[in-house]
Formats: sequence, structure tokens, C-alpha cells
Amino acid sequence: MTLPQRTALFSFVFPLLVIAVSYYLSWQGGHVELCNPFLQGCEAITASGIYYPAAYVFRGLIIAFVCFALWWYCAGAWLESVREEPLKPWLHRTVRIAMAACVLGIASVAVMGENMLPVNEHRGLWRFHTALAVLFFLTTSVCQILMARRMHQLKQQLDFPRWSIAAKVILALLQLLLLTVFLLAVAIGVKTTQLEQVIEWWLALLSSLFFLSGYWDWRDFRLTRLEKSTEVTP
Amino acid sequence: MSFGQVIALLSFVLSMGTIALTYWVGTSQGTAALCNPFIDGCTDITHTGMKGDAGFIFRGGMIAATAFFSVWWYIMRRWMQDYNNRITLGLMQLFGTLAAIGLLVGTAVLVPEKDATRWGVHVRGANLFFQGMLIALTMNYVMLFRARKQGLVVPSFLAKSAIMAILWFMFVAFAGVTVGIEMSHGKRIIEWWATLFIGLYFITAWWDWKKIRLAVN
Repeated sequence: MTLPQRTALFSFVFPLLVIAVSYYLSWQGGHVELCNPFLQGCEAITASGIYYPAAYVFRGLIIAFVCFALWWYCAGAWLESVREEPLKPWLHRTVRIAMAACVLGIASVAVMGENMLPVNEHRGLWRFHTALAVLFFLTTSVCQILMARRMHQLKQQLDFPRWSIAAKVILALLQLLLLTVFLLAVAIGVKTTQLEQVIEWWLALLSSLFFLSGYWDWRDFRLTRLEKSTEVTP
Repeated sequence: MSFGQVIALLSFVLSMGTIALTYWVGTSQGTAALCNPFIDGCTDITHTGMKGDAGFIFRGGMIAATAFFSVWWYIMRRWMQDYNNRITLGLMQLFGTLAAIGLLVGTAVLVPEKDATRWGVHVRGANLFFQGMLIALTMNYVMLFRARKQGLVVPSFLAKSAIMAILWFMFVAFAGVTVGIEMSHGKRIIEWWATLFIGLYFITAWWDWKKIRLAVN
């Protein structure tokens, strides 16, 4: 397994594991309801990272955000490597913006814990966390949609399985659909907490699956000591 | 900048930068004692990163840094794989990664309230970091010494030699870098210097890994 493949796999497995364990510990402590959050939207992902000891485990998501940033680096470097030319400026910017969003994600998790309670005395902290988390989700989804579009445009030139591009496009379209539903719900005033939470869980799952898709693309993408005639970096 | 250089740089900047920023914010907000901790030892690194905004910065930055440490050790193993046997390289990477995990766990349990902090976990995690890292760096240095004789070019070897000498001097002269709940001035000073020199060892890879890139074969 190459380093980029490990990054792709870790970017999927680790955050899901962290959230699952945190949710379980929070439920055990009586702080969250046991439900299917993908269907019932009874709790936000955040809810599983407030009370200790679940909050200690939840901080592991910071590692996941670093992995996501590395994933974006790998994606940009891989496209440059297979095409043997620099990324188009807009895609270069997309990769950098996606990596910056991961930094926002780190900051949103770093403030979490019982220091956020009671809620009415720490509204500033909650607004900080929520704003950064929303920005991370929105930015990551948009960047994944743009990356999928670019890969689809290059499918004739890129020598990797068509199903992989198709999977990315499907995942990107599903995220686009969810974002559209969310924005429409806000626009027409029917947004509920449950709807918001369902969308949050599905966006998290779909974006993780998008990261995982890199595993099959990067079989031959590895650390090497090859010389490069020009310094090209994302 | 190659991928290897990016990892070496971020491993140093994220860890040392976080500590520096945490200390600056902590002293500005009055949650940490102001002094030159490398000379006065008025505070240890842990206590600067517990309360307030400094605590958030410390947790976010240091936990993120541990991820880069793990990647650093992965790259170090791959870089040396033609010059050393798999088992010793595997052990070196294992100690380095365990040290990173120790720091991750030790940092993750920090909370603003001193009495509510799980000190047992924090102290064990921090000590696993320092001792695990010392073992891993020592193994790395010895293997690099041998690898150079087989032809591996290590531009930073002199710098690494100086750093290892200083780290071992501190370890032997001051009975090791061991973290405790309340540390003496001397131990605090050693903690700051040891942390700095571990960070410097990470950045020396910048000069070694110019050709370590990600590419399609």
C-alpha cells in the first residue's frame, strides 16, 4: 500500500471510527439519544464531542482533518504527475482552499469540550465552532464537486478505472443535491434542526467516501526520489 | 519544495509554532507565567496550554503536529529502506509513532480545570513521547551513521550529531526528561530544551529529503 493509499483509507476509516466511538460513549453517559442520525437527525455530530470522556476521543478528528489536507495535497500532486503538467490555476486554488478548510475544521474541534457548557454562557464559543464546522462542510463539498468535474473532463486522458470517476461524480452529485435541499429549505423557511442534522451526517459520510475513492486511483502513486526538472507543487 | 520537505517543515513549524503561539497568547491573557522558560523554568509546556484560548491553540496545534510526526517517521523509514534491515527500521518507526500517539493522548486529555484533568493519562502520554522519541531518534541516528558508509547521502548529519549529543547530555545529566504533575524548575527547563531539540531534529530532514516526492511510477 502506498502512502497516498494509506492517506485515502485513513481519511475514511479514522473519522468514522472516532465519531462512532464518541457517539457510543456519549450515549453511555446519557448525553445523546440512541437513534439512526442518518434518518432521524436526532443529534448533530457535534453532540457526541461535548461531554468527557467522549470529547477526548472526539479530538481525534483533528488527526482526520490533517489526513484530509494530506489527501488534497496528494490529489493535486497526482493530477500533475499523471498529466505531467501543472494544475490549472482554478484547480490549484481549489486544492489550497480545501486544505485551508481543513484548518478551519481543526479549529472547530479544538474548542470543543465541557468548557462549552452551559450553552447560554458560551454562545461565542458555540458560534465559533458552528461557523467553522459549516464552512468546512460547505467548502469540502464544493471542492469535491469541482474535483469530480475536473476528473470527469480528463477521463480520456487519465489512465484509471472509469468506475472510479463515475463513483466520484455520483458522490459529488449527491452532495450537491443535499446542499441544494438545505439551501432551499433555508430559503423557503422550512429548515428544521432534524433536517440540518440529517444533511450534516450524510455530507460527512459522502465526503469521507470521496476521500476513500483515492485508494483505487493511487496504486502506482508513491514516494519516490525521482528528479523533477521544474518545481511544481500544489 | 518536495513532499518530504513539506512534512519536515510542517512537523517543526506546527509543533514549535504552536508552543510559541500558545505561550504568547497565554502570557497575554494572564493564564501563563511570563519569563524566559528556557532559562527561568517558571512554567512547563503543559500548563501554558491548558486554560483559555491558549488551551484551544495548544490542543489543536499539537494534536495536528502528531499526525505529521507519524508521516515523518513513515518517510524516514522509506528513505532508509535500501540501507537497513526491515526489522530495525520497523522498530524505529514503531517507537517514533508510539511517541507521537503518546503526545496525542497526553494532549487530548488536557482541560482548563486543573483538578478535572486526567493527570495520570497526560503524564504517561507525555513521558511516552519524550522517552519513545529519544529511543526512536537514537536508533535513527545510529542507522543513518551506518547507512552513510553504504552510500546514503545525509547532508544534515552534522546537525543531527550535535542535536543527539545535546539530547543525550540532557538525559544523562538531568536523569532524563520525565514529565510530572508538578515539575521542578530544572525539569521544566530541560523539558523546553528537549522539546526544541526534538523539533530541530525533525527539521533537519528538510536538507535530506529534497528528492523525496510523490509521483506516479
